[in-house]
Amino acid sequence: MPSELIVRLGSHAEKDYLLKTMGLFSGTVVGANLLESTPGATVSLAFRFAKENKSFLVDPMTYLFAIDLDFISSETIERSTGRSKKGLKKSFKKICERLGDPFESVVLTKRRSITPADLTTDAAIEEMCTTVLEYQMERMREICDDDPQLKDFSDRASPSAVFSPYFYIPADKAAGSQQWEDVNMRIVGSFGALQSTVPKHAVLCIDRRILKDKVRMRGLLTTVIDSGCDACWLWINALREDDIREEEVNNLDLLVRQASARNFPLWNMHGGFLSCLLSKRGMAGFSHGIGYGESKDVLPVAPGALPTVAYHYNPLHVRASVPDIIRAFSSIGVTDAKSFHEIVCNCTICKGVLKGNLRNFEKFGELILKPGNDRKSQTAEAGKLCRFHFLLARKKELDLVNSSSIPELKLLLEETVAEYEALDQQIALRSKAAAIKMWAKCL
Amino acid sequence: MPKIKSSIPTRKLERELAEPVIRYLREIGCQVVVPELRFFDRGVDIYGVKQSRPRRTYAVELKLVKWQRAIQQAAVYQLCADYSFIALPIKSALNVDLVPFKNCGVGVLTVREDGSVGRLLDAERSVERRQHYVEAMTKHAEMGDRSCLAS
Repeated sequence: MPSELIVRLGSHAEKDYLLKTMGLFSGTVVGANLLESTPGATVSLAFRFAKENKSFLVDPMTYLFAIDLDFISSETIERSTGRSKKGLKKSFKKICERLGDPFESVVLTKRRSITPADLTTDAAIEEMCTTVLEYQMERMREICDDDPQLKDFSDRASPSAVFSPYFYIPADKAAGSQQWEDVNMRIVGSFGALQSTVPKHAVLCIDRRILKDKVRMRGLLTTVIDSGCDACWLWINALREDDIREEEVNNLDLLVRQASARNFPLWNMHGGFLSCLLSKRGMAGFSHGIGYGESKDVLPVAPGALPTVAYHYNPLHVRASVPDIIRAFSSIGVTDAKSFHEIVCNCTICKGVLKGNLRNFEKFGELILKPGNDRKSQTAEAGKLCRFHFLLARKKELDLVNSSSIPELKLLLEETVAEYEALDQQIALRSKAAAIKMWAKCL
Repeated sequence: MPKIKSSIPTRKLERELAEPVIRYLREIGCQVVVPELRFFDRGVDIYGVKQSRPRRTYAVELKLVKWQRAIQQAAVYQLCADYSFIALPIKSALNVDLVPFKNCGVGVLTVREDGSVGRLLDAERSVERRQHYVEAMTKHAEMGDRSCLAS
């Protein structure tokens, strides 16, 4: 099964990357908060994707309303009194208003997070599933109807699939683990029973430790497969593929094969090259942001904290820091721009940056001191180069996996591991090869 | 919910190694010694410049125990310094395998409980150094500018 990639758009500042590379991937997914904060721009983007026959999805991000609301709140100054007031960010408030209960009654009225106790009755769950589905189906159409420039296109404004409501399932020992599991499974059952003109996708958002529990995971996936939903997205909280343990790889592989045996598409919501490789075992596809987001914590990053995008080091399929790569040059045989393009990357971005001079590689790591900071951060230009390079590198990886057989991939990974493990201990890239060794176990 | 780990206690203890190492670099002739000098996304814990001819530069990575990671950091600093060392408490030094250090020319300094510093392994002059990095780091160090290189 060819691996598919849905690129996640974090903000409209990233739109340019997406539009310039949209032909390379299967589609995009945006958070409902982005749709609410920039409705016109988001719907216009959806049209562009529809025109190219690419998928466009809206993630309702319901899990955010069950964590500490401070994460989705901000302080505003009241004009009349000059006093500061903390409240839910506008975009999330709008989501709650659109989704109705329990979001409206609990989050907006009672000003607290949703708990399993708010979802005890079948009626409450059914109502929530219906409104979350309708929100995804109708919201873009409503935005078009309200906008004279978009009005004529409202018939095109629908997503390619809809997500079920979903909440984070904490690990066994945490409070509410079983309750949240029960709630999520009832949601999946209720959502799967709904009528829909587009495919219905369930989401399993779990603590990483649950992945170690083979029996529990198998049970969860069986419930989803039998629910009437058409696909499932797995979100294993903060699972970094380059840090995955053997037991986790094995269990992930079991899940993929379990879904595949039932012809049930299983996606990884935040994955990277391992998820791409898992397509050989039956994983339908994966998603990530533009240069980041191959792993994601349910707790959002601090507002304004833009992710630094490190250079994607193609030979190892992971990100690496620029000085670590420069330090490795002499050990891996990179002596000039030509050998760099042969050994590391020959994408148009890398060729354009190096311009025949290996020293220019450092441009991917450029930093700048921004006002008010005491530490330098990535320059806009370096971030842009790393992002474009990442997208081109990812496309190459997809093509590599999709066009290779399992034995070919296994051999390639083994050769890479052997080459990097033979490097001296002081070369930091050497330790990054451990991830590939682990990934090869799933083939 | 996941917990956020803090590295502050470790950094604090590592900083306790800094003072003896700064003193040591001055003793061997460095007129300029700067803590936390940035090199790309890294912070060289201590960077020293011997201004008398021939001018020489020193980078030191402070570590309490994990020398395996320290050698990789110190090896990166071979790009921007003539000599690169790791410094660690004498108790931890007993567990260090010196072979990889010898292989790449990174030196090992030990900090004794009385604050004196010993040289367990000499550093070799870096064959990986890039003159433009050495010059830029020297300039930043001499200006007392600890902010990052690569701008």
